[in-house]
Amino acid sequence: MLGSGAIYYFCSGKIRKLLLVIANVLFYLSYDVQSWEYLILAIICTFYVGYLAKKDIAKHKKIICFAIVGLVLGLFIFKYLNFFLGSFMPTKVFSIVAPIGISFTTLKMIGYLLDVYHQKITPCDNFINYFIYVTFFAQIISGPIERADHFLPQLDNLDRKFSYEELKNGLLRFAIGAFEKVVIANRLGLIVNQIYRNISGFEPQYLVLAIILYAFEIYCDFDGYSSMAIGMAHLFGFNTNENFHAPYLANNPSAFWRRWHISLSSWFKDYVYIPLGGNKKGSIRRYLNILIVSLLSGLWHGAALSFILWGVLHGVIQVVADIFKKMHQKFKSPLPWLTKAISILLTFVVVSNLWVFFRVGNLQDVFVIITSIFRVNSWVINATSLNLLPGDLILNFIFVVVIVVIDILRNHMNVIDMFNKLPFFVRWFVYIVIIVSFILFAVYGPGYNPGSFIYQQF
Amino acid sequence: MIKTFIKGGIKILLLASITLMCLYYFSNVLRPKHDEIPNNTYEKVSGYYALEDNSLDILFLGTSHAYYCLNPGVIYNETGLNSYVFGGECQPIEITYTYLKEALKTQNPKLVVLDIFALSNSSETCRTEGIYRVNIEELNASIDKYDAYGFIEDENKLENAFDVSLYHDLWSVSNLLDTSRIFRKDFDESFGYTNGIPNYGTTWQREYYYTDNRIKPEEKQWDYFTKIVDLCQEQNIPLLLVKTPCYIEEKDAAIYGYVFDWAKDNDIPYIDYNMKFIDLGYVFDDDGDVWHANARGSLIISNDISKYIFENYQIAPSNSILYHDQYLHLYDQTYNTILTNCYDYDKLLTYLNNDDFTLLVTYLNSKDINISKTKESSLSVFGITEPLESTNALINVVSGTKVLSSNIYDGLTTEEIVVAGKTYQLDTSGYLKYNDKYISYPKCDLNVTVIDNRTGFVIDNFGLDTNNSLYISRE
Repeated sequence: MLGSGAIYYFCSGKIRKLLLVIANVLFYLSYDVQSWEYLILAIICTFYVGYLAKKDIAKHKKIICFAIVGLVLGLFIFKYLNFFLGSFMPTKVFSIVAPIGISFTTLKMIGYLLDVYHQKITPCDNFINYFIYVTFFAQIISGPIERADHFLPQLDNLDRKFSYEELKNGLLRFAIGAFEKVVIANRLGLIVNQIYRNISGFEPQYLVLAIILYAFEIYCDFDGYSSMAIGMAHLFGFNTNENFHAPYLANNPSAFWRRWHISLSSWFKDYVYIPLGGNKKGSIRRYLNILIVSLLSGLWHGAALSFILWGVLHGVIQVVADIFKKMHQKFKSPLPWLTKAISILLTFVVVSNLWVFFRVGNLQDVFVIITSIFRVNSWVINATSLNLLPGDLILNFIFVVVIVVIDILRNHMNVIDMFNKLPFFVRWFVYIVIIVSFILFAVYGPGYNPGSFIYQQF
Repeated sequence: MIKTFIKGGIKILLLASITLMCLYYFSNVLRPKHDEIPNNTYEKVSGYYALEDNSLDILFLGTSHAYYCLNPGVIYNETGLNSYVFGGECQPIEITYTYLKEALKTQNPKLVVLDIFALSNSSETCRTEGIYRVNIEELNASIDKYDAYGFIEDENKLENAFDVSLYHDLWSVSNLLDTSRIFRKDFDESFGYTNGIPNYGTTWQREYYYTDNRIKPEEKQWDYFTKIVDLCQEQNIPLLLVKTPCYIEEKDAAIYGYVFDWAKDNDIPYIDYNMKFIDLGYVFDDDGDVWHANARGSLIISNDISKYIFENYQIAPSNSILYHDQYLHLYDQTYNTILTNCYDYDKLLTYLNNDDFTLLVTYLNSKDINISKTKESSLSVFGITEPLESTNALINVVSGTKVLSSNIYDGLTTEEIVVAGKTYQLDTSGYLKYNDKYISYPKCDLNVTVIDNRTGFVIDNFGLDTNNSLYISRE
């Protein structure tokens, strides 16, 4: 992909578009692609519906609704049918495998159709453009869920000249993302996997460690992927929206969702929460809307009771936090920074405990892990119990600290801009540190699948 | 625009170069160092690279059969020729071919000696990924090395070009010494040889195994064998084929027989020690086990091959002085292993009857002497010709058959003896001091220290128990 990015710069706009189509197809085929016919059909149909709507929107609103229902139905069949029927029948009914990225592409297409329906955008009349938008390789596997009104216009402006700054920033962003994923997330994953594979074999303090480390693993994995996607898009001249904004520095659950998987949260906000009435129809309705959105968000992540519970619990804590906030609205803290720090810590504790639903499907195990903190007798963590050398454990600790520090910086400034302003030697020193860290500490080599991301399964 | 493009291009190239350098450096630092004896590939390969260019006269190639049996110390002692065993554990013949190509980049040997075990049926079990890796990894980066990874089935050659991808997790067990390894030249004082320690008392005489059958080695092995032959011919380097002694079965015997016939037809000398070992007095398992010769066996075979080389090749030594001390040290080490593992009195005497050694013999009176007449007469090897009953104390200095000095004393006395410029203080009770430090203690009433005449290196010291029929006693 980086290679095609290099060729890309030497081509004209039309060739670039063709290159993008080829890159999208090749990237998709590099995965174990199944049921791709559905995806092609869905793209053709939704494009055609948009095309019809362009001619006469009023006449074709029903078709748009029909197409949206079709997409929801398609997602349901591929992702949820076995789950729901499984509640009544002991064995799998259908042995169909969902196309990779179906959750992300479906939301993109539904979003596009809804925007067309509400006439927020002019329907796309160029199939190649629409195909590139839905299947854009940097986003198809795990998002971000780019909006049509932001992405499609950029496809009409592909004749831009080579920009060294764009190239550098794109590569830098890609490298940072890869570092997060391959070095930090994968290394943390080694510990987390060991503990979660043998829950009963570890003392409670190890389970607490796994809860904390998994929170950072999933963050680095997904934020890493998003950064790589943003960096890659940048290399191809596309400006895409941020997907994370220091989520673990959120001081309440609602703020967390404004910082975590922003493209998904904003999608649900714009296409579900607001149409349901948002916060304009009283508190009760508002809380109900939050719960509905949270339930749908959980369900979107996976067809399992644990995901549904995860979603609902996130909704519940948002509601509880909101009620608590309202009850103490008049309270003025004498030490606001301390209150904020405690709020951040509390939010992190709740969110990281809820991640256990994500990681461990079995609800009994979830309960054992979440309650482990109350059974801790000793806080001694022995590296050898995790088949690690002490150096490995210290390294993981350093990585967590690095992520927290970078997030604190990200919370206040654009880290890439700040980095670009640093003196030449400092920047190159950082480059070399990153290269050496990659070589030494990344999890790669035989047996490792570089295309595997946690969010890919959703 | 062009300026920015060039500027950006230079920066990207610089970054790519730094990345490649880091990959190369850490590949070397983190690669497992196979430096534990006996299959110390790191030392053997890096030792080869540490040799001065064009300093070798003889290049030995082959598997562990070669590096256990062919002893550069003995070869040097006998011929004055510099040699090195450039071979790895269980080395497949195609890797041997790579080694030869690699070897010829820095050396111009006047003779290549190849052990042909890798052609045998028994060597088939060696063809594992691990064996290939162990033998390839220590080679310097080159196209030949890159190609050699292709010998491993289903192997991604590119991944191996920077094998840090396989070993990067070893950062946590690496040490500071590893970080400088890439910049060092680690000389191998054994010149690729492995000094096998003899097991005492495991003698079992084996007969020659002979067969009229002839089996051609596997096509792939044979192909690389002929490539080795061709390369030697291209470079005008005589090739000598050997098979060091090992247990063989029907199929291996038939393969070695095929090679023998082929070598004869092509005028390539071939010494099959499996058909010669009895004549040389090589005894299984006293001088070697199923596969490998030990120090004793290597002495026998290396002496014989030295004789063969001396008689059949007119090789003028490249630079005998360059590694003179190191080769003699290896020779002493070999003898040290042989002597310190020898508890057979008669056999010990045959080793000691060597002009290269000086024996420092001390005796301090004993109350009970119990030695048979035959054994008493054998004490002449130590310069003792009078019955011990009539002697109170003595210090003899003997070399080969010559008694250099013999002094009889009334009681405890100390003498200063100079060997190879080194001054030793020896007293009649058997204490030996060098530079005011004790280096040997008495074991019995009759004590012997063996020193190399040329290096002054103490090879062995032992006591002979005069109360117990000259039983050999060592600490």
